[in-house]
Formats: sequence, C-alpha cells, structure tokens
Amino acid sequence: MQFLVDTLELWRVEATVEAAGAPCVAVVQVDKRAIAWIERAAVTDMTFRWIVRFAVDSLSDPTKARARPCTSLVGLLNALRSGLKVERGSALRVAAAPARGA
Amino acid sequence: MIPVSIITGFLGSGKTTLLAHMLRDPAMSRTAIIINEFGAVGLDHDLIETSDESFIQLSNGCLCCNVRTDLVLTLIDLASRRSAGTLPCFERVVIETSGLADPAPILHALMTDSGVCESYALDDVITTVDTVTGLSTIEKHPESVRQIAVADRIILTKTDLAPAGTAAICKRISSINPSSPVTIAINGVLDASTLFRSLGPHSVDILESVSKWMPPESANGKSYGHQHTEEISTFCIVREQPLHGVTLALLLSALADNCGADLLRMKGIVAITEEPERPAVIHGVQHVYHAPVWLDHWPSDDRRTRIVFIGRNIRQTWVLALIDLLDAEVSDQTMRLGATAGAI
Repeated sequence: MQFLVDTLELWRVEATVEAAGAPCVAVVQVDKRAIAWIERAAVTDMTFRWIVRFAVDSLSDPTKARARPCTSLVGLLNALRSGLKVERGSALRVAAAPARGA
Repeated sequence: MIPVSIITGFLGSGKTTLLAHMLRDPAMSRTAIIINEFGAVGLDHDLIETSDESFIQLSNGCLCCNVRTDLVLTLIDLASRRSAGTLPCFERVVIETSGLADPAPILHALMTDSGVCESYALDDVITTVDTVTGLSTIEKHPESVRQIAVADRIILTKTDLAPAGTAAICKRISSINPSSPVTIAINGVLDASTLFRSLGPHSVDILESVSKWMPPESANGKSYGHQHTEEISTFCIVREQPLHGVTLALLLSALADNCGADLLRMKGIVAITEEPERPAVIHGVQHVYHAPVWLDHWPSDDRRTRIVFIGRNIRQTWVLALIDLLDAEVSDQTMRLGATAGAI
C-alpha cells in the first residue's frame, strides 16, 4: 500500500490509496472517487499476476470497470500510469556499454 | 571507438580556461574540440589556441536544445572526415558545452544515436564549479545542479580567489553528487591525465573506478540518503541479498518508465543470483542506460549491491520497495514455473 502511495507521489498525482475488500488489494481514489481497483490475479493464473480495473465514465463500480491484466509489477505500474494519464517521458533506452578499460 | 569527454559547468565557472590549459599538454595533441557558445557571437574559441582544423565552434544556440541537428551531425561529419583523411587522425573528442546547457540530452545523444555510437563512446563528464559563486549558482540555477549531478569528475576553480569557501562548496557538491571526486584546479591548471579518463592510469580497469563511485556511507551496510533543495535527493541503496538477473532488467525498465527525467543519474554495482562471482555494473542518465557491464570478479571483499541515485522527488523507500517487490515477484514466478515443470 505504501509503495502505491509513494508511486503516486513520485508521479505527482493527487490521489489517495485505500485498502479494499477481496479480491481487491487497493483502490485508487481521485477527489474521493474510486477510479482504479487493483487485484491480485488468481494463484492458478500462470500468465498474469495483477488485474487493474478502471472506472468507466462516472461509475465507481468495480464490477462495471474496464479490466487490464498485468504480467508483473512493472506492467501494473504501466497500466496505472496509462489509466491515470501520467506522462513520464520516454521508455527505457539501452546504450552500448563503454568498452572495458576505455 | 573514439572516447568523448564533456566539459560542462555554469557560466563563468572556468571551462574555457581549463580547456585552454589542457590543450597545451602534449598528451592532448590529437584531440578534436567542439565548443558550444550561447549567443550569436562566440568568444570562447578565440581564447583557445589550436593549430589544426580539429576545432569546431557551434554558436547557433544551446547545445542541449539543438543536440540532434548540431552535435550529432558534427560528430558524424568529424568521423567521416577523419576516415577520409581530410582531418588529422584525432584520438579523442572534447566537447565544451555552453554554461546554460543541460548535459542530459547531450549524454543521451552520445549514448544512443546510432550514427554517433558507430565511432564514439562516451568517456567521462567533467563539471567545473566556481568556488566564488558556486553556492549561490547552485541555489538559483537548476542547470548547475544537473551539471554537477551527472559529473564523473568535478573541478573546483577559482579557489585562489576564495580559499575560505572551498570547504563549504565541496560539502554542497558532495551532497548533490557524493560519488564523484572533486579536484582543485589552481589558476585553471590541471594535468590532462588527471582530467580525462582515457589518458589517465585509472583507464586501465573499470574495477578501480567502481569502488570510487560508492560513497563512504555505503560501507556501513545501510542505505543512506540526503535531501536537498529543489527536491533533488541523493541516496545509496545497499542490499545484502543478490538480485535475479531478470529483476535487474525489470528494475531498469521500471526506473526509466516511472522516474523519467526526474532520475538525473544512477550508477552502481549489482550482485546477481545467477552469477555470484560476476557483478554487473549499471550506469544510467534519466531513461537512458548503458547495457550492464559484467565484471570478471568483485573489485573488493564487499559483495553487496550498492546503487547511487541522484534524482528529483524520488524516495529512497520507493526504490528499496520496488527492488524488493520485483525480486519477490521473480522468485515466486521461478517457483511457479518450477512446480509446473515438475507436474509435466
């Protein structure tokens, strides 16, 4: 939970994170309105680890939310950034490493 | 590959004086110089004596704002003329940025542009800081903080004018970038081999430089951090347990995706579960990272992961939690896949 709070602060998003009842782990609220629910995927699900559900229009109802499954924590953060419309610049670029001894 | 060094530093901090002295050193004889001046009429190039045409003046604006059109094309053109024999066979390039330049876009271009990377490799970033005005410049101009943050080496200038201020400015510099050594230049004079990694004895092995990155605070086995003005913070993550190789890849991706331009500089040495004898050296500027360099052995008895971060609005606790969560996820996934393989 604290990790999500710190993440939103890192993104400079004014939102709160609340604990939520199963199957949700947390719910993200903006202006006291729930906009995203975070769930752990079923243990038997070998592909996805997390599911993020985004509120559709003004409905704060997780059962009517748009679901986005994520394969990892990195995917979960990507989904949240996308849903919250957070622009953090370019994705990772890897440059050639400097030669040993150069 | 031709090593490229960048000399940066705020306006009036002594970049040109330093470079002018450097170029009198015979060791610098095969050096191409690129000078960027902000303003329609450049002066710096008149202050530097050069005897050949391996000298380019870019005076149509700030280098970091025109990096694609100016610097990249200039470097490619230089390499092409060197290959064709129409330029002396220079062995290194030194770029002096304008005093207002943000070095990050320049580093990005040097690290990622395919045309540039064919011929050049970024060697080091040298930042000059003026002892007389440095403290106030750091407080007033975020460009100055960024120039110090990305430095591999910091040169303190004008100490003869304000000897009493040396300790204070050194302390401030260290709070921004604790891992880069600070050297004092007396009247702008410094030995070239002290300044440029490609000329110095420390070029022999990356191992030697790895331990120098790590601030003394990391030796006590705990992560530590400093918070500055302008939300700039410097901290070091120290971790006893090694990381899975996949965790490292995920970590670099997560840092780039989530911190963006707020991550000014990150470098460190990482213990990898699958390669316990071979640590990975990582090095990044904002969202651009060098591919990890795998050392043949640990540089010292200290085999812990140690990563130094310099960034804006980035919490040390967030990075620590991110690493722990990612590695736990990878461990769990490995176990799950192992269980599945067993079932099959």
